Amino acid sequence: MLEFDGLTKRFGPVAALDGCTFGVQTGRITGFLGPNGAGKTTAMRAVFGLVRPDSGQVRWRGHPVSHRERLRFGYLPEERGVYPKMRVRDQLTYFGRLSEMTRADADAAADRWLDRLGLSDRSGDRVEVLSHGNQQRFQLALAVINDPELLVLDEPFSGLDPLAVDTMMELLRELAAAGVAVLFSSHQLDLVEDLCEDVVIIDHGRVVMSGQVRELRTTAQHRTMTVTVRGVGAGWLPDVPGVTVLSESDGTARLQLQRDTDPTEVIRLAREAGEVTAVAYQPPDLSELFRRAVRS
Amino acid sequence: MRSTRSVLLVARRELFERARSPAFIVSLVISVLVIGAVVVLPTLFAEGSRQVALIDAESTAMEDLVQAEADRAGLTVEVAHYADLAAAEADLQAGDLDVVVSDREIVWSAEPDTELETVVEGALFMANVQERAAELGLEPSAAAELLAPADVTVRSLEPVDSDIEARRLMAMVTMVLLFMAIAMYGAFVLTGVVEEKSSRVVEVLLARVPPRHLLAGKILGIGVLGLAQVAVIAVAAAVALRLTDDGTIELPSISLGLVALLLLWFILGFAFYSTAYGALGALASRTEDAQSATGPLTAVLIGGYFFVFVTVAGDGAEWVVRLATLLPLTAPMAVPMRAAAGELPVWEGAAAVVLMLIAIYAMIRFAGRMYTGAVLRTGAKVRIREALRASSDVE
Repeated sequence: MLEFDGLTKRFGPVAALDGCTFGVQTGRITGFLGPNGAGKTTAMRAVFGLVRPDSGQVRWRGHPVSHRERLRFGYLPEERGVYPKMRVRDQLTYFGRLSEMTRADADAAADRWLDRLGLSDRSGDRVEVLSHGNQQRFQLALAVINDPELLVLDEPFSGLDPLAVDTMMELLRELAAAGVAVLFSSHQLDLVEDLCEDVVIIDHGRVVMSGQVRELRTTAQHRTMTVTVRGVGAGWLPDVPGVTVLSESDGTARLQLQRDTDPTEVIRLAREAGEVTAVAYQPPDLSELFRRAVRS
Repeated sequence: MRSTRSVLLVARRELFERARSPAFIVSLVISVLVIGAVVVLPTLFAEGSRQVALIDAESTAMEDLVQAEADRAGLTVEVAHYADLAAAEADLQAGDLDVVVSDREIVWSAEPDTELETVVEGALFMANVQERAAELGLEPSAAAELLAPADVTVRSLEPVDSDIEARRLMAMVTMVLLFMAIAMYGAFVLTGVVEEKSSRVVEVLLARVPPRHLLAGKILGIGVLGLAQVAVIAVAAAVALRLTDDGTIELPSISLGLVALLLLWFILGFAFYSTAYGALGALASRTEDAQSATGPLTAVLIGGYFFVFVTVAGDGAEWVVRLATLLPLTAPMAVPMRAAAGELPVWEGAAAVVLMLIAIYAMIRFAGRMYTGAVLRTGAKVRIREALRASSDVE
């Protein structure tokens, strides 16, 4: 398990991290959310010693992370750099060896990942001649060349086309199933909801919400409800305690209910107003949780 | 052990990736060709023996005089005898002859060849003197006695270095070579650092390699490449000299000690300047900014070159020459130069090495901090003070 314990980091007047504390479980995928400037990249860089926290600690399996642990980590930064003129396989082998793999192990890992990502026939090409999509796959291969126990990815889905998104999701699931701890940041909340068991939301350098997605949704203090009634004018729903109207148009009302408010009461009122054609009642989705967590 | 391993891996990549790049191979081939051409071409164009035509000279006396004068001037001369001036002039016109000498007349095809002119005029003068001596009733042997050179011994108050000129030339070549090598490979380190930063690969690297190791490996790899290239060029020059050597080329006595000194000072000078170049390169995020970031350093290097050129190679006061020798900024150029000229006291050489090592150590400490603080900062050019302060932000 990777633990962030009370990380604090100031850059001049700006507090990038302000007592940031959370954990990343092995064999699970954790989504790392927060508005721009919330401190996600700083926290991820702290894992790799690229940022030295003013206070607090990052631990892996209970030990403070040092160079030794980092050799078993994989990192895909937001700015995904490569050596454009270096050959594909040479470059993978080089990064493998920088992670203290033997030459034979690094060669074998390079061939395995090239095969897995469909780049085998490009192994002798310089990276700069690869297509955009192949370069993205190559960058991913660089991040995992040392078969890491922990994989940290900063905005891995940005700039990916839908097919590449599928490939990336499939790979992350596969790695997590093999026991890798995966932490990634993203603004694409639907994607995070699909992929992650766990999420951490930070704002102004502090964790404002964290836990299992399913549990966060079910334990949320409210529910969302959508009711469509045919042939009614605006304002058909009278004031009900515990119910807030978010929007209403053409007979469709989006409502927010307190968790203990009985939805059947709303349905009863709707049937009194007219013919009910659709009803949905569910826990809030991740984007709603995110908005509430960051706004408060 | 761990740190050496990553430094060596980085160095190895720098060495092999650069050595196999087309730009490097082309530049190496060109420099070998240029060196070969510089050595071989002069011997191809070197003039062979001059053809001198003598008219109406029955005896060999005039021919002997011409040959004697030519020997003294270091020229090779072949003498042909013509009975007829018109025939000789025709051959002169055709370019088969260099000069036609008749009784008191010297004929050139166009501009006189000044070296040959001296020879021919000398021979005519001697012939004239011998003729007048005979008219005055002197026996030929007495005339020869009269014209024999004075028996004078020559001595100098201080020991004479017979090939001082050649050694001075060697010293100058040495200095220029070191200046160029340091500037060129310093620029390699600079562009290497900026490329890693602008392609953003540096963040992926630094997740696996500490910044100091990355900089050290880069400098080591490029330095080894530089030594290898200098060695290839030196071998090419030696081979070309050997191929064209017909015994006429005078090489100064180059001792192994001088070659070792040259390599030592390439390493010292390169270590000092390329570390500074690497650290300043880290301040820039783009290649365009790199020039302005390193401008002051390049000015110092070029200024140092001219300073050494004017003072050490020229006629600077003794204390100024000593300053250039001991100052780490100029020592890599001044020391090998003075050593090549045979003008370097041992204590000054030793002191210069010690001071240089101290300067390199200080530069590595300083540049390591600067590089660490600056290399992950993208966007606008980083200031030196910001970089030094930010170095504590990185582990």
